[in-house]
Amino acid sequence: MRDPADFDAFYAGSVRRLTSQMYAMTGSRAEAEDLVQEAFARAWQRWEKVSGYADPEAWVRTVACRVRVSVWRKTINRLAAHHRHGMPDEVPGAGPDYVAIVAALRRIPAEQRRAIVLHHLAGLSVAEIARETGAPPGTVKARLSRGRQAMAPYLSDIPGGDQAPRGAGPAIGFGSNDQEVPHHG
Amino acid sequence: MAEDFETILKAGSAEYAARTSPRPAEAVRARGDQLRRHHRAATVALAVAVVAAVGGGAFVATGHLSRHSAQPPAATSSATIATTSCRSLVASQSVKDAVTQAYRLAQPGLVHIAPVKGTFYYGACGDVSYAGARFTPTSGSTAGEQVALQDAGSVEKYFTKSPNGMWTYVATDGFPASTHGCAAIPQIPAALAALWADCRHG
Repeated sequence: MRDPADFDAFYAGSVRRLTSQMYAMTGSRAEAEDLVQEAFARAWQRWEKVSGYADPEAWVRTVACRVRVSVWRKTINRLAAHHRHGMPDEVPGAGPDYVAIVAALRRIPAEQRRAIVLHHLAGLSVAEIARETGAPPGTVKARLSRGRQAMAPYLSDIPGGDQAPRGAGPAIGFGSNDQEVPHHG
Repeated sequence: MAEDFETILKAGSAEYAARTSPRPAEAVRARGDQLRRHHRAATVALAVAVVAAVGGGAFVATGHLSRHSAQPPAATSSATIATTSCRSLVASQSVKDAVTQAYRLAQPGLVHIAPVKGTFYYGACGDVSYAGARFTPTSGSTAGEQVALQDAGSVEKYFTKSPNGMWTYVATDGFPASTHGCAAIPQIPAALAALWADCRHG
């Protein structure tokens, strides 16, 4: 039996957080909102089961990512260039550093981007990311490392540097975030 | 001095989250209810087709069976076989080929497919054989095949074979895949699922 009140409480408590995570992964407000809404709709469709999972929020996030992959593949020929290299949607009130980070995330491969968002934003450990993405832990570590390396040129103000794109953001370091962090889910 | 990436990302995301205006939960539930109705309608249509096929003397899976759907008698009876005789077996290439061909027959339009390495399970309980596999597009696959093998098409599929019979597609894992693996698939005897470590190859 599906309990609407139970679902509504779950939705209210996690929709904003998941939308912000999907925005970091997509750089598009509209796409992030659509993906999260669709994923939540699928959660309600199977709420008898999903509500019994240890981490329904992770389930919704996984579905949102998979829906995105499916949609992306179907439109790859039409939108790939814009999708990957266009600037992120303007977010009123967003700081320039945050905008620069989202723009840099859009310039790295999707799997690296997902790993970075799950680790640095969602707070998942390498093991948790491995479980959520279905990739071995070693692969997750490699994606994190390579993703950071790939983003670095876009987050440092290297004047005239060959790798620094025009309009590159301010200097932003990864600090000492190489350690695993617990899932605060 | 370099600013901290994670701090900026989290702060920016928190601001973004605070500013976002999600749709009402009622609208999301309405969409979920719509998806549920479509799924049920498809399941009923499939069950009718299955019953018709079985009545004709041979079951040929023509649709996308879920573990919630009605099951053909052959699959139901096979799942109730005494499980003490279950054994996990090494799948030969001929078994993999036959199972792959059964999935092609069940999914018209899928031709360029092959089992994903490390996801093939093969075994028997009594004289009924069971197999499970995930499939991936192979060289020459069309865009339609690639799309069909995404999402629900990418999860583990399950097959049975009666003595002297043909491999038959009987069930699929859910999407996203169940955390219980093939232990949640009624058509797979529990003892065999246990031998397969619940098909948790990931």
